[in-house]
Amino acid sequence: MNQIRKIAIFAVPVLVVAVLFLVSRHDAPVSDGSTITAGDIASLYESAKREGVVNILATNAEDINWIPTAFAETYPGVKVGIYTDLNVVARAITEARAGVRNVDLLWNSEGLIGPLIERNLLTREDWPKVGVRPEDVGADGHMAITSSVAYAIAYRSDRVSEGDVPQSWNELTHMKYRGKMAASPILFARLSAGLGAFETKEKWVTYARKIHADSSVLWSNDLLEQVIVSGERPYVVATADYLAERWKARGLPVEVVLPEPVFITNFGSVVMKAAPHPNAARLLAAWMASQEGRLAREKALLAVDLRPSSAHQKARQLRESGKTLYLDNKEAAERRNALIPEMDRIFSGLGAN
Amino acid sequence: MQRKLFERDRGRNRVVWIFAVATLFILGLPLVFVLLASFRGPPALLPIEQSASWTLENYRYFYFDEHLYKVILPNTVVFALGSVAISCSIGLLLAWHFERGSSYRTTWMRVLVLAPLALPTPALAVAWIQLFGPNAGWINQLTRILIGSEVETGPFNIFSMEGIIWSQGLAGVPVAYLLLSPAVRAIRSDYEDASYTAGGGRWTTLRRVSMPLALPSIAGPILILFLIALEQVDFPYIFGPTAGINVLGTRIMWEVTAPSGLPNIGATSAASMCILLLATLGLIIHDRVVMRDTTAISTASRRGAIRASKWVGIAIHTGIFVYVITAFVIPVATLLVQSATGFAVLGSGPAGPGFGSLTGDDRFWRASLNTILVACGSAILGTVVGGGIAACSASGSDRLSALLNKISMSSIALPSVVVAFGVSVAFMSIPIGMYGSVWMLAIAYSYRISLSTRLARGAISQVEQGLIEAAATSGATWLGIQSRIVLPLIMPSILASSAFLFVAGVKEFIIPLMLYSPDNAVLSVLVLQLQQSGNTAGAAAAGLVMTAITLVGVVMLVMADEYLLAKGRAR
Repeated sequence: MNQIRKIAIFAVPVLVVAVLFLVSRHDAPVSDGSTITAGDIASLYESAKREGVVNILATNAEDINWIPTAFAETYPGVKVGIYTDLNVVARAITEARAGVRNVDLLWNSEGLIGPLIERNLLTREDWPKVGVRPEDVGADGHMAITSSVAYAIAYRSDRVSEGDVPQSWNELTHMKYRGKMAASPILFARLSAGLGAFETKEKWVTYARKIHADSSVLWSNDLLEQVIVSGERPYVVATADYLAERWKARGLPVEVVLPEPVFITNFGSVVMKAAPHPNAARLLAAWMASQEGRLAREKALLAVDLRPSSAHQKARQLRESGKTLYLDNKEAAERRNALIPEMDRIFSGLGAN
Repeated sequence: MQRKLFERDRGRNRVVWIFAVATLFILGLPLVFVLLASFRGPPALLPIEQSASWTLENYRYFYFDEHLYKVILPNTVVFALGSVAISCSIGLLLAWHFERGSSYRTTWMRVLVLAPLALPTPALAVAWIQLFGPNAGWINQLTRILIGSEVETGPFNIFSMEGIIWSQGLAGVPVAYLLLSPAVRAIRSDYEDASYTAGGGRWTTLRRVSMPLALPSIAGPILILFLIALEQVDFPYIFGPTAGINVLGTRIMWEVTAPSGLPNIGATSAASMCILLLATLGLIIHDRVVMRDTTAISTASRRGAIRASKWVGIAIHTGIFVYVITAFVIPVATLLVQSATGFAVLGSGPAGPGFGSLTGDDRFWRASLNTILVACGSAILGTVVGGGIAACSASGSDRLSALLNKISMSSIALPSVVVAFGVSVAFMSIPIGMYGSVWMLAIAYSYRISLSTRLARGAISQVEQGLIEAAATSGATWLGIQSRIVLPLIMPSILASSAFLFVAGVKEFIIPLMLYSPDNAVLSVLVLQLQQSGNTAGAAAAGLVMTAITLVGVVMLVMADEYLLAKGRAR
């Protein structure tokens, strides 16, 4: 009897946890998910004000920290909450699975939100109704594109002569760059897979292997700025253009080049179906994609939209340069995502599988 | 003997059940999650998803890879043995010097030795690159000038196996010292005195008396350090990719940070089973060593038992000085320069906002408070539960305590990222309103009870059974004996494990990042956020605040320890 009581004492908490877990294993409650019926932003703003809050999730805080202040200048009364996670997609899926309704919208790369679309966790919006340009609608109507990121090379202008500035990704395999480059293995894998998605897979897999095996690259996800500052490596390659622009703006003797083929990915906002504040989420997404939102982003992060549809001066210069330009899209993203595991294995030093 | 005395003690049996429930909560949830997740697939789905199915694919994917056996495991063994050899040999030397030698100014010297513990790993890494970077490292440049070399690289390279072992080994010295000093202190000095009286020299006494007495409790910390090294990510992740070196910890990390988007939780969990197996084997070996009949006890130790010669003393102090300069002063100086200028070395840019930007930022104050709360909370919880399990398992042979003892060791095999994922799923599913709170972090951090259990177990095994038997014969209950006899005797070990958990709590990075909400932000996450947002100066300043918080903890630990020691001597 005593033994049974002991087992019961131990088993009850286990059972309680298990039951609660199982009870919660229902699909996330879904809001109506319908597109807005109000025809203008003013009525959307009124609805958003009634909701009062909007929570946005992104990988890096830097990408969204500027939003609360800038958004409040145009739309006072709607407070923006910032959430970050190493893996926003996994977090969104997990929260949805557990029925937790925290996050209203996500800001991420168009190529990485596929798993959320497959699981039907995002709303498909009529974005032009809220002022988003048709060319800024991505991911089959799920995303309001806010900006682009181009893969760039940053180099120390005080240590690199003009003749040694690489103009194409292929040049990086040259021996003169051996032992002089630093890069993030994650970003280099994404870049190589992206280029492979537009050209031939074999060419860029061979390229990736050559870079990894022969170029003595300093691989780091976190210390690239310190590495270029200390002079340990004069080139940081396959980095985001706006990061390098920020180093330069802060006074580092750094210049930025976009090697050919220029590879550009889209970033934007998507609204969760289970968003607790759906109107505020739509308003924020639309604002981030608007001209005003873009300018605020550029002011805060030095990030500009380089896509062909952009009116920005730098985008025009890029178009006029005649460089080959690959703009990521849904089809390319699928091919790219299929290539990423192989590239990942190369750049993480795990060899062929 | 103690086991038989208390098996039927009601107070003890109730305590065993209380700790069983606590263990279930802080360790059982992530452990069960890891076990289940390792059998869920495919990789394109998270283990909790309805479409995921039961599979052995994760095991096939991870263990049927020849790269694992040809490269990763050999690298891991070399790295773990090398770094533990460096940490333990220096840590043991320091422990012997401070605990058994006749050093003066011990308190501040001990603080200096433990100070590197306070530094965030990235700050240490930047300092090592600054010193031993093959191209622009100061020591390399100086050496090239001195030897008149015309090559532009080397001779030292921090991005190599030697570099990784060196940096991880030195970073582990404070931990090794922290864990080994209670064991060294516990040796009875009258045995050593008897050896000297009988004509035994220093070396003979050390080899034939001191070391055999210390072995049981030294074995535990060394085993723990080795197991920690097996899954270590810090320096292998920072320096390893450039050197083309992967170890078990980084192999797991690649699955989590895969650029494809979703982390491969199933494969990560399957991989951690390998460490779990090694930890279990280690536990068996350790228990056989620790449970051997020993008579070393802790009531009669004293400093000054070993008298080093003048020159040995000077050599040791010089070594400590060089160590503190390299492992603490240079990284702190780097952070200070960074916090003042925004740049690590140049100082060429506009002055960064540094501390100024932090004091006016609400996030900083909230993160500082949260850091202290979470680190203290997890240290207390982890130490109490771990110490409790050790006390229960040392005083009875019932199955539940034995099971708790074994389960506690499994925490060493759980990767932080999987724990964070398991905890988030659990707290989302259990509607107790703690999801996203700072208390969720404190509970999530506390899963590392293996260290406190092992340390306390080692210390308890050295408590003289005669004391316990005398108390029991006089009618003392199990609880009374634990609180009035055992606890005071093992207090140095308890302090050491709580200090370790506190420091780990301040520096923990992966778990708070994955469980982040605006309400539970901690300093380690803020550092990353500031770094990412280009506020390098602010990030460095926040790093210095983290260092200061940890240092305060270290100073308090040393002072408490010195106080206990003085109190013991007075008795």
